[in-house]
Amino acid sequence: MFFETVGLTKRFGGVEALSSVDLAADRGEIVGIIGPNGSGKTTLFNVVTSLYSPDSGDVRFGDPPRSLRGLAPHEIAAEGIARTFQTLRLFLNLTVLENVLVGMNRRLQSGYWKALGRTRRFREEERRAESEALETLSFFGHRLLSMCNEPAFMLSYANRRRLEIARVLASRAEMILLDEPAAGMNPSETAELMHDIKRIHQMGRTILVIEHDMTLIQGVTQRVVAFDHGAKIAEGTFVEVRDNPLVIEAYLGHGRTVGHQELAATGSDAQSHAESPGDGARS
Amino acid sequence: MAEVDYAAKQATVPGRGSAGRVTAARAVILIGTAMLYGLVLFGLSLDQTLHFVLFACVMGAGVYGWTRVPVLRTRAAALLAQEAGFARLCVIVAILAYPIVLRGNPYLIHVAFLAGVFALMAVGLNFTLGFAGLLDLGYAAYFAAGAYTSALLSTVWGLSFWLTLPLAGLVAAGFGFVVAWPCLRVHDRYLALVTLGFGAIVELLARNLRPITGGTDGILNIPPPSLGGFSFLDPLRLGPVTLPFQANFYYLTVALVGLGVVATLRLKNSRVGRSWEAIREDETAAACFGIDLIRHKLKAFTTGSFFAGLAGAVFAHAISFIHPDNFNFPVSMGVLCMVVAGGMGNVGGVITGAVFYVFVPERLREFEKLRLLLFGVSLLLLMRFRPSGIFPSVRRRLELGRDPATGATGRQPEADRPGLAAARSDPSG
Repeated sequence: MFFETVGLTKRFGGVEALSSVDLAADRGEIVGIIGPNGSGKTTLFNVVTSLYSPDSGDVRFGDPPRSLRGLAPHEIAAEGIARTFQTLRLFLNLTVLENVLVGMNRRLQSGYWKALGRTRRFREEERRAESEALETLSFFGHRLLSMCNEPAFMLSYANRRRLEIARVLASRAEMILLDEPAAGMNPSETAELMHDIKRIHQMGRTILVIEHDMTLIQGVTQRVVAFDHGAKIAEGTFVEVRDNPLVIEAYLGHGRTVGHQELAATGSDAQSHAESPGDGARS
Repeated sequence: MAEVDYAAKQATVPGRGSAGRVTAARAVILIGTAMLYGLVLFGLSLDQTLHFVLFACVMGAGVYGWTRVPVLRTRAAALLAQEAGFARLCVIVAILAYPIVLRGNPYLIHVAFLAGVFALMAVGLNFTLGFAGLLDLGYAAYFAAGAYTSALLSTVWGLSFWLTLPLAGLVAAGFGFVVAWPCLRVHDRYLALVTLGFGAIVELLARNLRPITGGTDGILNIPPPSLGGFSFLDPLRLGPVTLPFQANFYYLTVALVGLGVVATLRLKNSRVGRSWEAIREDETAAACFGIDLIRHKLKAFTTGSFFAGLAGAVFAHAISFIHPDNFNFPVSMGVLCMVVAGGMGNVGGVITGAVFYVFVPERLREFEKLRLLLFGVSLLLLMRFRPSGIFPSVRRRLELGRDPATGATGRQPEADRPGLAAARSDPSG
């Protein structure tokens, strides 16, 4: 397996945010991760990117696979795993272009002294980096390109989400973790996003995507994993997972036989039942 | 002048006035600079403190009024963006001409030298605080490290100033590195507290380590620098004009500040500078994109303390006497004020802050104890009306705008949902 977690466990005090999670992805696969709020999806990403260290278990990545345990976040990035954040974490006072250049950080060589000396190699690398960054921004047409020298805080919400993705693309990471990329987007923006994710997939990247929007999960993922209370409760195609009684129970609770039909009827409706009231506003 | 540099990039778009041609824009910049320069020099040379206060109030009101008229502001910004190189040249000439214009007033040249020393420190702290966003409340400690290193090396071992100057920088940088190593494991206000503690420790060491630092007697008779038989205490002859010896030290600090500015601009638009700014903006995201937080913070700290060390060495040799009181907490606070008041991250801004910080209290000397109060009030007013500094880094960037031709008017954040308008213009949607 290109990417796998083995018995990954993370506790916060008495709460087991992840309990013995086994999850795998082949090279070039898109895996969707669903589950109610607080089911451990983002915690999984945080453990994989070493923002949290796991209490037990291991993350293996690469070809041939090697353990990522004990690496610092920046070393994980160097291995080729990049992520977006559910709560956007852009460098707001840097320009759009600079945000992408920071994303390219792991692929640039010139350090402190070369920058001070403004050596030829440094200038060449900067020039190359800049044109490559512009090319990365053009992934989203003119939406980001036309704003490339504005500070990121000037961007609209949807464009901020796009910039998060552009930054990940710039890193050329082979493994991309998308944490609720469609959150707060309207249906037409989500449709555009689905198209973008497919294009990223065609570039040969392996993608894990956490999302509450079932249209997106159904539309782009090849395989879906469902979480509840920190444990993996189901795995398979979208339809298999959608019809899994454990999943329905996780979203709708006990004794709601009606829920089964509701969930089965319209996949995307499931979220509005399970989500906090605040999220309802966006649909 | 980081923003000017940024503007210079913009000016490379086709359609600007070709180099060397005297354009109307250049004439306006030249006249504007000359008028402002004359006005400031006139104000500084006013003998009566009361006159100076009146002058400062009028200037302050003028600047505030200027910022309240958007047309003037955007016009000026567009003009500067268009002729950034020329504007920069004007500023450099004005700085170099200062001792020549004021050659009859050694006192003002000396004050300008002090402003230069503090500007050097502000440029240094700008790396730590302005770029990497690390609050250092013990910055005077590196200033002390540089001053004592240079003073001791030259008084005890008789080393030349030109050797002790870089050594002072390196020792201060090493000291910064050692201090930062444990400190960087804590964040925000804890970092501020720890650095505050280190600053206090260094001052106490200077005060109590009598055998080395001379304790409260300080170190006396630090020799002035000399260059091939020319002592810095001799008057400086530039062709037909003779400048008082204070001009030597003035030009020395100007050169060092220039070095700091070049280093700032070079690092700013590089991988290291971007990493620093990324850390300041969001540590977690920075780490997730391969930035080694500890390494980069150490680099920022060390670079910052290097410049404080240089400042310390120059200060020691120019004043010829150092004392623990030169390196106490108010000095750290002062440099911090310069950086914050001037505009964090913008090297031109922090230098302006330093000049402001040194000149204003100096001219208010007549008010004795009251002067610090007055200065405090002026800082409060500044923070009320320009909360992100005299020349804020990013806001200024916005004011300058992207396209000099359109004059960069009324820049608003993108509509939260570009929706149909954007979708229409972009067929990929």
